[in-house]
Amino acid sequence: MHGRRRCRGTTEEYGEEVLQLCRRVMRLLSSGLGLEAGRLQAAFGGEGGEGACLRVNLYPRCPQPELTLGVAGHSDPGGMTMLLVDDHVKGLQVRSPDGQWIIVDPVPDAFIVNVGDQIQVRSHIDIYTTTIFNSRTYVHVTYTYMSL
Amino acid sequence: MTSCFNGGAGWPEPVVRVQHVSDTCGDTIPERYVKPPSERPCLSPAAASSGGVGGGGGGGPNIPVVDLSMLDVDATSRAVAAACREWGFFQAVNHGVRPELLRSARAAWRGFFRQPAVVRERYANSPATYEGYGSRLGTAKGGPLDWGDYYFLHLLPASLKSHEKWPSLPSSLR
Repeated sequence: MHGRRRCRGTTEEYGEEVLQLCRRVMRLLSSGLGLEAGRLQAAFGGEGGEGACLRVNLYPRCPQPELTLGVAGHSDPGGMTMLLVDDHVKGLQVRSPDGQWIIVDPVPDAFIVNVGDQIQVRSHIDIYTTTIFNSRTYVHVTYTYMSL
Repeated sequence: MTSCFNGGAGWPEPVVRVQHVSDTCGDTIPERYVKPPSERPCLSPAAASSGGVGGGGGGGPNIPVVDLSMLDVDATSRAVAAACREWGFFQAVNHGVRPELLRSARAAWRGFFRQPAVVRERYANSPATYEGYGSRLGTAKGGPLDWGDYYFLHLLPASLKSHEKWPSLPSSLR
């Protein structure tokens, strides 16, 4: 099989499965917030009408990690991010409910779900942290790592 | 030669790949990557050098973990909503996406970044859509930069998905 086809195949399949997962989590969140299960997804255009993108991040090793960030503090735009982080290297920091930056200790193969700022806008329900910079990524002296 | 192929593609200045900076900068990172003191990551020396390796635990606070395989859908919904309200984040475990697919997606993309620069640069992005291989957001000349490269693709809506922006990879890649 050609490399191009294999990469597309893998990325295509990954994208589809993660999108299905995202729809499922949206339904769960919707009903957990006391809304109809399909309500949040409908607010994002309904099945097939949503926007979805894939960003793969590479954070090369860095001689002075204490001075920089792989991704500066931000809040995720849009609806929901499903982040698959490196299995071996930590790097994600998030703001805890008391406002401190903490390092996420990832469970292997888990997705880190990040609620984007549009969930609050479109659900009209107050959700913590979506209006402030709530995540950032730090880098390492000895490790290059990747997330999807 | 390895890093400045794409200065003309809508960027205000040549784009330098962080991979290239990492390989060539020695002990000191260029000024544009240095964050103001208030934005720096406040790492302990251990976290910055080696303590970042996963599995350390450490017992500090962590974001909630939600098991998506629970049979009680109402309980799952409540856990998801509580995590989102309180933290804005959670870790989804037993989420149903096969581990083999996660492995092959990681491997495929690691393969992309391991290719020679000349191959990666075929997919250099522009600020018009950001699709493709990129190293910065925004077009402010001389502005601050983050220590990361990325690849960005549209998946939906189908009208925005353009396969010519998708990379090829070495056929030896598993």
